[in-house]
Amino acid sequence: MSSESAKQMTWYKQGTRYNPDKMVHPADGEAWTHFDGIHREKAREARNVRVAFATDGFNPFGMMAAPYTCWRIFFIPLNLPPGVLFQRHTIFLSLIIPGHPGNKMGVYMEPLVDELMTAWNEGVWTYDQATRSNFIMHVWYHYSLHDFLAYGSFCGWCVHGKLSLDAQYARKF
Amino acid sequence: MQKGGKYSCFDQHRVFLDPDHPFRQDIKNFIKGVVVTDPKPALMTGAEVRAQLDSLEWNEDTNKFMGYGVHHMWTHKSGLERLPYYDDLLWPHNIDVMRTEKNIAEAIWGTLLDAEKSKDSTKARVDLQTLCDRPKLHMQPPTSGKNWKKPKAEYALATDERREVLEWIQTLMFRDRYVANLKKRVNLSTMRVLGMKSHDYHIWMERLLPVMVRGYVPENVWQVLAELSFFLRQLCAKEVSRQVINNLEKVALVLLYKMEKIFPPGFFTPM
Repeated sequence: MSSESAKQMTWYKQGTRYNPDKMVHPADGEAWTHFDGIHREKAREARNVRVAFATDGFNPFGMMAAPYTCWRIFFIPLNLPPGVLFQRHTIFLSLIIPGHPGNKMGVYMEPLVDELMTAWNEGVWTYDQATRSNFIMHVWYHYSLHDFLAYGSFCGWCVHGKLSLDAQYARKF
Repeated sequence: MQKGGKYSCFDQHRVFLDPDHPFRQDIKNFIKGVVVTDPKPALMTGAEVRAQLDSLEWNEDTNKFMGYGVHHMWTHKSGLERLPYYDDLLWPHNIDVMRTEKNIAEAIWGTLLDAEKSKDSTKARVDLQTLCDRPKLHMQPPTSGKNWKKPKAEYALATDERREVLEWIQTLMFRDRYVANLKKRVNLSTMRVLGMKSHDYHIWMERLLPVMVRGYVPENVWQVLAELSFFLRQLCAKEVSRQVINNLEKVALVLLYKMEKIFPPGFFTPM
């Protein structure tokens, strides 16, 4: 990682904002500040990384060629400034799942979750090119992005039928 | 939906409105004869979701969790549920705006122009008859011959109006790389625009829709469509101020109900 992009990883806290009262980044959102309020210790270190996962099905043989679907999970660091965030060179491929995962999505994600657990509990010893020093980097999951059907397999709440309301909004039973 | 087969979200969210909102008392425009007085349900917190997940018991006979389909719809536990901070995330799962916007735009495009994705089908009209009080839109029994007649809805464009609109699209010019060249896609003989991608729908929804249908649909319908277009434009902006976002949250619900007043129940599918 170049020193320039290492510096960009702290943008959300130390970068310049041209319109401070406008929302331009996930860091301005309520979910981000809410999380920071609970885990102050980890949130204080600006170099800690929050990641988003994006998933959807695709067909490597051309959309019409074969009735086959293959699922991928992308990994997106959310610390970057808006101009770089969600660009092609800052989205990383973390998993490729052959076929439709359906309800086994959780099983396929186990290795990924294992790594997230380590990154949260112990942290990873990392070299920071911008300040030329070592530090323990913690990484945590912030949110996932997908369409409504993938939402069902991703969080385990079936999205078909009568009770297909959003799990977060589901009325209390 | 009984006839349409798909699940419809029609009139499911009136509980989220303010307790004294006039739409709660409305027995005419939504599901007929229903007044909603329930208080607004609270958002489930992470701890509550966790409690629900912990209480799940596996049923060996059906290979599902106990109470599946009756009390809950949990099919499996997500791997992320193991993360110690999972409960503290406010919005752990998000549905992407691009896809949602495309779905909305497709439905509106189809319904207005009576194209392939139209949500205003015969089956939708039959469902409408059972749910709502809108006699103008009911299917009419055959007077001569044996075909039932589907009366033209006020929000759909007539055939000659559709032709005019498509001819108007053929005259459009855009900046380079702004949107696909729509005028080449118009097929006047089949009255279709071919190969619209999600970005084309995005531009159509936010920029072209209010201009395109004004005058062809009644003013009240146009106003709702223009509001929807403006809503999405604000939502998809690169910079957005906090007041606008707070406001959008309230506007979204009312806007949804304004649309439910106009379109048939089959229009409001989750996908």
